[in-house]
Amino acid sequence: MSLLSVEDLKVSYGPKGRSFNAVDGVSFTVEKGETIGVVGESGCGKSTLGKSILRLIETAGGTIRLDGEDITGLGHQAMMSKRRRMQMVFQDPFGSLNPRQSIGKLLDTPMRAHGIADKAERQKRIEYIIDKVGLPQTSLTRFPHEFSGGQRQRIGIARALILRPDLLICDEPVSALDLSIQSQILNLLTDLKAEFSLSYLFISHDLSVVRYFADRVIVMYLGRVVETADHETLWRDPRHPYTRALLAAVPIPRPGSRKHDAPILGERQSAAAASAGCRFYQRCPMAQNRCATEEPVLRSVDSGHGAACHYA
Amino acid sequence: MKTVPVLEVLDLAIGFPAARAVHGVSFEIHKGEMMALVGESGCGKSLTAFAIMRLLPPGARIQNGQVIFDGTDLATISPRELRRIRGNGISLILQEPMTSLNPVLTVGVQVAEIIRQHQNLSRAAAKARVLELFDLVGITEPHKRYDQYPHNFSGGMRQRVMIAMAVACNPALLIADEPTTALDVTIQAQVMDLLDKLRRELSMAVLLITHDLGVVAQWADRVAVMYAGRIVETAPVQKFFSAPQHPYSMGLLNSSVSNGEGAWHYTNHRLSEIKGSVASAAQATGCSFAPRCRHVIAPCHGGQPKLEAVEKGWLATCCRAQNQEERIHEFA
Ligand SMILES: Nc1ncnc2c1ncn2[C@@H]1O[C@H](COP(=O)(O)OP(=O)(O)OP(=O)(O)O)[C@@H](O)[C@H]1O
Ligand SMILES: Nc1ncnc2c1ncn2[C@@H]1O[C@H](COP(=O)(O)OP(=O)(O)OP(=O)(O)O)[C@@H](O)[C@H]1O
Ligand code: SF4
Ligand SMILES: [Mg+2]
Ligand SMILES: [Mg+2]
Repeated sequence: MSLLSVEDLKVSYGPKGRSFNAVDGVSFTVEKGETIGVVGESGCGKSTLGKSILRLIETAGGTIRLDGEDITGLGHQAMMSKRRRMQMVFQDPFGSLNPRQSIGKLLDTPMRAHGIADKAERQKRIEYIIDKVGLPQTSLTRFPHEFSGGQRQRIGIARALILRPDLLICDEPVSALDLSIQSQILNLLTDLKAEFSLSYLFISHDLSVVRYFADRVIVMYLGRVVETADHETLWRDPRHPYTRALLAAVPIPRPGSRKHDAPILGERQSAAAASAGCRFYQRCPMAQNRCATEEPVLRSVDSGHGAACHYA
Repeated sequence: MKTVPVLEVLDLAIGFPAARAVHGVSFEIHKGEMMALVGESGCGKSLTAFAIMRLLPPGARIQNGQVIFDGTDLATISPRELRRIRGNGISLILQEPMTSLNPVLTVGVQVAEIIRQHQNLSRAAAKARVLELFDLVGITEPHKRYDQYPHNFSGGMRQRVMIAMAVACNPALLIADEPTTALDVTIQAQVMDLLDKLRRELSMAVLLITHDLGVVAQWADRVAVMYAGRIVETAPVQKFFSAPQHPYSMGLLNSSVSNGEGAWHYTNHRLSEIKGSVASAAQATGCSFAPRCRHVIAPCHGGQPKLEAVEKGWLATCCRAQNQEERIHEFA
């Protein structure tokens, strides 16, 4: 049984009548100890997907199962106990930490909220986790503004881990950081995975990072999954034209290696304006007449490899 | 052939009441050149950029140094003079294109307003100029787009609008602070190609702040590396990638998640890290990188090393940078 299974998930924003689905029929599973990478352009619905799995945003359709149990309709109380198993590291490391709480307090609060009454036990966990994320014990009495961006990101990770979750949803955990801090954090996440068999839903628009850290990858475009495969297959044999364009556009850190033949894509449409056909139709270099009227479904193109394109 | 630089920053220091954040930064940019500024998060890249425009956040102050643009020192000229230069001589593009546009005005009107503030043009002439600029930055159907609102534009298109505004008055220098960090790589390539085209066609100098070394390798001519409020190396891009001189530059390059071919995976390769944290720089008596440096020797603790030439156009602040043979050997 999968740790997490998401089926036909829909999340919509906007007033009735003019709402649009920011996540529009997304399905996937996360196995124990597995890392699923989620990539796609800004605004394609990655953060919305992450938050809706934790039910921080209400869903408009579909089901979310944790260890096989449908949690989509759970009330607030029942959901609390599930959140203990699924935690999130938020996209914005600056905005998501309460500036008036010391780091020790910040880490203690979620444990108290989840009814861990034994003070000594809480203190033990705090000291353990702060060490795990590579910060000195003296950090505990300091406040968020006294830390650098990368350190705050680790504090966010420590807070998410303190309840010992099974699944960690990481939303762009390294995008705003320089390479040296990025590698410290990726090494930390790798260690934690080995130690606790953590599973990750790892959201990022940085493809090099996802290639390094994910076991399987989901490529999203305007609220839909357009391709999914294990990391090796996706980079060796991308099938969807959007995935191909993405992979071809990754700038390589070697001067003079610029490929000027990377496919040029037009401007994207908004999800609200999506027509009856393929959502990628207007930007697609491979599009045929059929693509304008008939929406491609995500279908298996090889074992464990799916793509939503008529010509994949 | 020696040309006069468009911008020359000399020993610039920026401080907050509690502490100094930028300690004596010097660099220059030439006509048509794209220079990248990279470095650890919080090292003072944005502050440096804002100081050039004298747009520092509250509390921050230029404490020392000069910013020579077109023969005048921007650090000391009158606010009136400064306004003229901000519109016509130097432009700034910020990371977040969403918040920089007014949601209730059409995009065309906003760009036209900016132009009219700095150039004495009629409404009709300003509109014609906007349409021309939209075309220049690759906004298709400019007439239709002129009358649309910001929410009708995608992130990449909004960034084009910001670029159109920034180049409207043919600035000699464009400063772009992480212009593509929020965009996907396909849009990033379009925006960078556009900046590249503009600097070639308009001979504009570009100061590009980024932490993406792929972007640096693909689009910049020169790179300046900052660490803890100081420039520790400036080098032509080729040299920086093939033989970085400062150990922090080496650490950055070594931290990459891809080896160029990009075949690394967490299951078969552990990423290299620069051990320790930038906080140690405050306690350092000598080189601010010494507490984290793998190549540290006794003289490193003797005082902050100066930015010295490795060869023409290539500078580094490292006690050991002079001995090139040895450095390159160690890095390999
Ligand atoms: N609270 C909200 N109200 C209305 N629309 C929203 C809201 N939050 C997000 N959206 C819209 O939903 C879509 C998906 O947003 P989301 O933040 O999930 O994208 P993302 O893939 O995480 O993008 P990014 O890479 O920029 O973080 C976007 O079009 C966005 O403008
Ligand atoms: N109000 C303030 N008081 C004291 N220090 C401040 C204040 N605002 C910013 N700083 C410090 O100034 C330093 C430089 O910040 P700056 O924004 O220039 O960094 P940056 O190099 O652009 O980083 P990033 O890559 O994260 O954008 C940071 O270390 C920051 O902590
Ligand atoms: S279905 Fe058609 S338009 Fe859509 S991605 Fe495939 S070829 Fe392109
Ligand atoms: Mg997001
Ligand atoms: Mg900055």
